[in-house]
Amino acid sequence: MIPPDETPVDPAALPEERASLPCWRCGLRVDPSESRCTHCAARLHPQNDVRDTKPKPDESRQLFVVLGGFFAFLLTSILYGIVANVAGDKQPKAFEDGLVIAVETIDAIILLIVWASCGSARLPIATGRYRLRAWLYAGPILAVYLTVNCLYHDAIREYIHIEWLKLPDPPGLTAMSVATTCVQPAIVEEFFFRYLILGVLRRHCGVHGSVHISAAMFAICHVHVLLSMPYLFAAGVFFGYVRVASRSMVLPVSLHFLHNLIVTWWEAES
Amino acid sequence: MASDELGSLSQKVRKDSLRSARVTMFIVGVLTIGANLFFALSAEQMVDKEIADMRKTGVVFDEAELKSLRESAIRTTQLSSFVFVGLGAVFIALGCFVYKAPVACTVAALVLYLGGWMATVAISVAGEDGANVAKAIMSGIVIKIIIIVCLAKAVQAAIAYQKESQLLANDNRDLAL
Repeated sequence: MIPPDETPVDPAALPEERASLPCWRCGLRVDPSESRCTHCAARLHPQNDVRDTKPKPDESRQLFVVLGGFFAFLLTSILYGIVANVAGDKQPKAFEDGLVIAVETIDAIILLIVWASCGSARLPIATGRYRLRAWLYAGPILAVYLTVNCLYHDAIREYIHIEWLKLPDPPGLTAMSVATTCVQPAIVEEFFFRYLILGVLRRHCGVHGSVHISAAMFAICHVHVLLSMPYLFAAGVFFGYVRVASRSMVLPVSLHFLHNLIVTWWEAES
Repeated sequence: MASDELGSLSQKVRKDSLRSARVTMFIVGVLTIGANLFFALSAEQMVDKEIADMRKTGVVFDEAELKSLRESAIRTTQLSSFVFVGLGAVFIALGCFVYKAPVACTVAALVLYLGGWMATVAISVAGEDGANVAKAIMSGIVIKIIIIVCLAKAVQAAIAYQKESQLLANDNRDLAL
């Protein structure tokens, strides 16, 4: 179907391979001047338009690639939980640091593989009004989230006393902990969950659906800290809406970094 | 017309796939709710049985410490069971809305199912000092894989179903104009 304000292209004037195009439904070649496919008689759509030669990403494949990436992230998280649990508290600090570095390197590799296989997952351009609002409101909302985080985890520590379900000990504010709990997660997690997953899901599930599903995935990938998952879901929703409103990765990455830095500092102090 | 019949035939096949996904979500939801309600309601008896079993093996407890440990264990069991009851309810809700938002519901169901499975593994592993890792992962693995494959196929069908529904809706709008 060619828009009425544009002149239809004469197929005879085109090179042979462009004179016919595959039908969007049956995949068989069809003359683009036809209004319906001559094989399955589907109404022809803009993707059959000979002028639309830009290749479109296979959205279904993209979705399965990001789901595969999510599964890989999940496996890494559960393996980390298993190894950390089996090793127990007896292991030296160097072992713990090595384990964290190994897991974060694997996560970064997964991100790069998924990104390379999936391609761009950009969101449509935002209006200036939404961007401004995102930058203005994000800071105060982050402060509210941090308060909720402290209250939630205090309540959990008060309520749950079982040794095997306790929250991990705070790592303290060192260069190593800043690199592994603030810098790496802010970059890798934001690009995986807010850029790739949110961007791909946005094409299928709408804004709210994609934000909530990507937040659920973000929380589930932290399965090694089971008790923090409800809060992580809420944090994922916040970062998701920040990403959608600002249409930029700068704000969610900065907020995630700031969030983790303040939490690490707070836990080290208290 | 032959064309519309062909189109509606492929939509019907996708709709069948979505129907089986909906049935899967309902079954998973109902079983999750039922099993976890049972665990939540019988938490006290389960914890007492565990303590009795440990006593039989010769473990000696400090009674004051045991009391707080017992209460905490009961609370934890009830908490995790009620979380899974909520998850079961979400599965049923996703099944109800699967025709309205096919891709969102099927993807959410797949993600939550995988997440629930891994959370169960994480709980089992944490409680058993890693000794039962393989057991926790392998328990009911065939059924779990069947459910995951069914949900993954439903995602595939949902993408095609949603795309075709949107195109048909656009066509109908064009015709109406």
